[in-house]
Amino acid sequence: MGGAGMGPYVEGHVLSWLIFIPGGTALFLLAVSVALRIFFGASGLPGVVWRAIGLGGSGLALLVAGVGVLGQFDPEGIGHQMVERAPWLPGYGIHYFVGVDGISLFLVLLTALVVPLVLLASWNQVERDLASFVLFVLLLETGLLGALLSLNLLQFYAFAELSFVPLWLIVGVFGGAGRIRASTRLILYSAAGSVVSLVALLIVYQLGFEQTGVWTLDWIGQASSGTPGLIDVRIPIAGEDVAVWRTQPWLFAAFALSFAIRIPMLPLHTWMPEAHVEAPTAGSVLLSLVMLEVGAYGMMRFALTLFPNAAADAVPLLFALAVLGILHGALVAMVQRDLKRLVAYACLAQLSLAMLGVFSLSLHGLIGGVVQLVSFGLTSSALFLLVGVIEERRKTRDVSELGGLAKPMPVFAAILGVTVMASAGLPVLSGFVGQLLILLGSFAVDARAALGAGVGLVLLAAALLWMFQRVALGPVEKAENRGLIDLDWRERSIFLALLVPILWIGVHPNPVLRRIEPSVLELMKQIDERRDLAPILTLHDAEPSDLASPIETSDGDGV
Amino acid sequence: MQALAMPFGALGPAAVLAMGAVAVLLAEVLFLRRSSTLSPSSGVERRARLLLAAVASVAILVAIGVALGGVADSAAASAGSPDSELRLDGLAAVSIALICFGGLLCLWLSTTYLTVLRIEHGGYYALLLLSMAGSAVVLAAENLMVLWVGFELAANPTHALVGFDRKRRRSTEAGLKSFITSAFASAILVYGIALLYGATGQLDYAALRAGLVADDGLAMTGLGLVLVGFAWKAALVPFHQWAPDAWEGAPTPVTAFLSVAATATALLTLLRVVDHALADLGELLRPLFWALSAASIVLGAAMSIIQQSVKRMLAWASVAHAGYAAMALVAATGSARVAMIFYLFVYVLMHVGAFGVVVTLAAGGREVEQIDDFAGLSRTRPGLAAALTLFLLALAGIPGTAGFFARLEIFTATIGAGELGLVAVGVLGSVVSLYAYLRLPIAMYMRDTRRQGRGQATMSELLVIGICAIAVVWLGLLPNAQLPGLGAGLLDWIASAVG
Repeated sequence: MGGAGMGPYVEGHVLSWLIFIPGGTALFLLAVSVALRIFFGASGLPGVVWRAIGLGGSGLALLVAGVGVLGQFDPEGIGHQMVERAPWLPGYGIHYFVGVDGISLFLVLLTALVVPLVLLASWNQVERDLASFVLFVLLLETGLLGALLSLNLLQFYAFAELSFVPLWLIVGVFGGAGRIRASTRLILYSAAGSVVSLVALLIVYQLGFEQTGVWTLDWIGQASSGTPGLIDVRIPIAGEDVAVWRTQPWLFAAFALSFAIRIPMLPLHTWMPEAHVEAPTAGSVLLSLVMLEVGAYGMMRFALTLFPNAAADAVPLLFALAVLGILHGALVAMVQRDLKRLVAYACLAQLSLAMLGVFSLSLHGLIGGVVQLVSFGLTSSALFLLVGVIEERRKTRDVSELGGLAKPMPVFAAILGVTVMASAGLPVLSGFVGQLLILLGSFAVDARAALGAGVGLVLLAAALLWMFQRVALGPVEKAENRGLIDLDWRERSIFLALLVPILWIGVHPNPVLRRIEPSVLELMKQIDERRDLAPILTLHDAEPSDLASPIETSDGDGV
Repeated sequence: MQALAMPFGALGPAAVLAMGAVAVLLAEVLFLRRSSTLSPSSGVERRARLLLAAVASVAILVAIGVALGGVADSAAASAGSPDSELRLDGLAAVSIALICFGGLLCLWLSTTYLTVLRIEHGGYYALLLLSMAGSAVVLAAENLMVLWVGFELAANPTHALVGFDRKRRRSTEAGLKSFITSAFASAILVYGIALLYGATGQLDYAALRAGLVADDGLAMTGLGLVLVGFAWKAALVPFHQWAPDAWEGAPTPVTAFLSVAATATALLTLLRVVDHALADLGELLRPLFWALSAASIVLGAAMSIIQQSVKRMLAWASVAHAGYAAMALVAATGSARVAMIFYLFVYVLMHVGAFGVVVTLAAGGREVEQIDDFAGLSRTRPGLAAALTLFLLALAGIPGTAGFFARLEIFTATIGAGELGLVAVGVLGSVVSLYAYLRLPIAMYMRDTRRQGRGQATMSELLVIGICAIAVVWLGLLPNAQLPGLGAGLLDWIASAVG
């Protein structure tokens, strides 16, 4: 009867407000639309109203994130803050359980910042079915924030799916000619990964019950009432005398597979370029958010911590995949003619780099990985939005059709230049901080990998800068490019909102690093502690019948 | 002579349903006798036909009440008559309530459809009620002969219903097909029962449980044949061949009813028989159920991908879902039983809801059932498209829908029993079938508009779709929240009733 003895556990509702404001706005608009249809025979709320109110809702969420969450966040605090827990499925150990720490804090801020910008950026790009577009974007935001802040694994799983279904619809409904194929692949890959991790999660759930007598899917327990969380469950390591699918290597493989599909890591990335190419601009931006928040964050928070021994064994393989991902992404990006495909492969390289830092499991590497994720979120959003600007004006994304855009569009070219340099990791911009820390952290673990990553970064910088040169510099050769109109005020303010944090992190990263560090130390402590948990399920400590008769134990599972 | 001493309480739901069937037939004779069923309906007639539906609905609601009322004093009933052929214990009551609930939804789904296809007869409602009465008998049976009679009563009306659209060849053909194959299955079932009786001299579940031993060849042959009969009725692979044709050819509300009357009834009865009569043969049965379940999941998912007809696709999906429900028989624990009942309840909601949308689109004698017919439905009928998408996502087990928790419970119970392999098969199947289900939302949301069916949905159809949609979302968000009238969450309530 997990959870039966646990009362609610609430330090504030600010995170719930943050999570549910966007989705609540969407549902409110939907309800009004339906009511208008039914009672007044109108065709529902007009799309522009949806967009205005939706923008207001996501803007309000940004305000809550900035003032409520960042403002109240204690930089010195250890563990999760602003925790709220409420029963969801009593008796099954499934709670609505949210909290924020230094790792998720900046990803939350990133999400809250990018989503309203996406709505703003789609001003002229989405006209048909605008209402559905706003609905999907807002539901996606709620899904993403809910997953990031979640401290219950089932909740993480559910919110992650809640973010994927709207993403699938955004790509599939608003995308290009190949949208159906691309979006179907997107959701099938992700669903395949997620059901595999669901089964692994249920096995951990079962293990936790057998060890503690409590059904729980909460990530952390409650010390005051002595209730356990999954973090307290010891998972048998390879070679122990239990069924092989209950041991860490198998469970870690299932979790890692699921997250690696979503990040994506080589060689599971094949769905990604196509999805980006066919997605509308907003879809690409949101897709990169989902990838880094559901994929990379989930891998760091859950997969590595739950199965530390198996993860440690897998580090050489994961390092190799990350380095190959950087090299592959950079090299393939170089030869792309389609701007969006180019940016998509650059994303692959950037995310692989972040994962390299994470897999190093060192202080520098992990902090660098988090900073890199945030920086990647900012720069990739800006890059996709810039590509969208070109596509909107020129109706093409072919690099060879462009050139010399700095003359007709100086502001655009300047912004593109800064963004490209930030992605390439030039100093005083956000990319630099993360990349430096990641190289430091991974060098200590495996010098060859750090070297390979360094080479990859040079190639990536070359690919991006060469793209900048071909797009913005040189003479204007095509007549169609002469009359292009530069960014208007709406577009400038969007990019300003992205460039300010890019510059801030680059110039003065300390406030960010200071908040991330305690949480990363806590994460490393958890990993170390879990790695050293003594084997308790050996043949000598427990009767074999304890292991072989799960039927009896599951009869008393409190249902 | 035990039959005469049978407590009326145990036969209550079936009796009420049968009386309802008679009442419907009488009402038709009294109020509608003169009018030809093929003539266009006047206002008076329409109201009279609504009366038939209302009588049938009342009968079903009373039956649900009787069944649930039986739960309260089930302890007394079972204590008082240890060897009665029928017993309305908690499991029976919950099962009967589930079947009646599903049947009620299908009935409401039928009213307009019958008019549109011009096949309205009071006989339709009477057959529906009789089939449910059969389910009510079979679900409370404690004796194999009673079980067989109940099965016949449940199955035979459905054949007539499948072929109810006499003017359409496909419907007639499907009715005949399902009748012949089902008769075959019944013969196998009764032969198995005969062998069991020959081997043990017993027909009562409790006596069988004591008399059955695993090394008795004759008894095991009989048991095998009985299980084949069950698998046939539940459309578990490899005994599923009748299902796709019957489901596709039947009038759509009847197709929805088949998921209740055939699949759910057979699986719930199997659960009861395994629980009451075969509990000691768990190790013997486990590999059998394992194979049936895995084969159904794999084949059902694979075949549903290549179907062009929505009804046929959902028929194969139903084969797969029967396989998922049968996972609980492999796990064979207390929580697995609860999981199975919850799963079947959700399954009925999802299937009836999905068929409800198809029914609503049935146009002037022509059904809208090819996947291509749904292209662009999100523009012409946004509400129906959204509801159908919801049901399909639920069938695929996406979080936020009841289908997710249903599958989660089944998987948890199966993992708890150590059967990871079967869960792996289930996971594989769920990804494959996700693709099959997604083809409809893809057509509705991502393709351009095509010609679609009838203009306006009627109240009864909207009611059914609405009930299903709200329940699917509600159980997907808060599957165990307190329900008014039950005094507990649904999962807890099932658990306490099944005990």
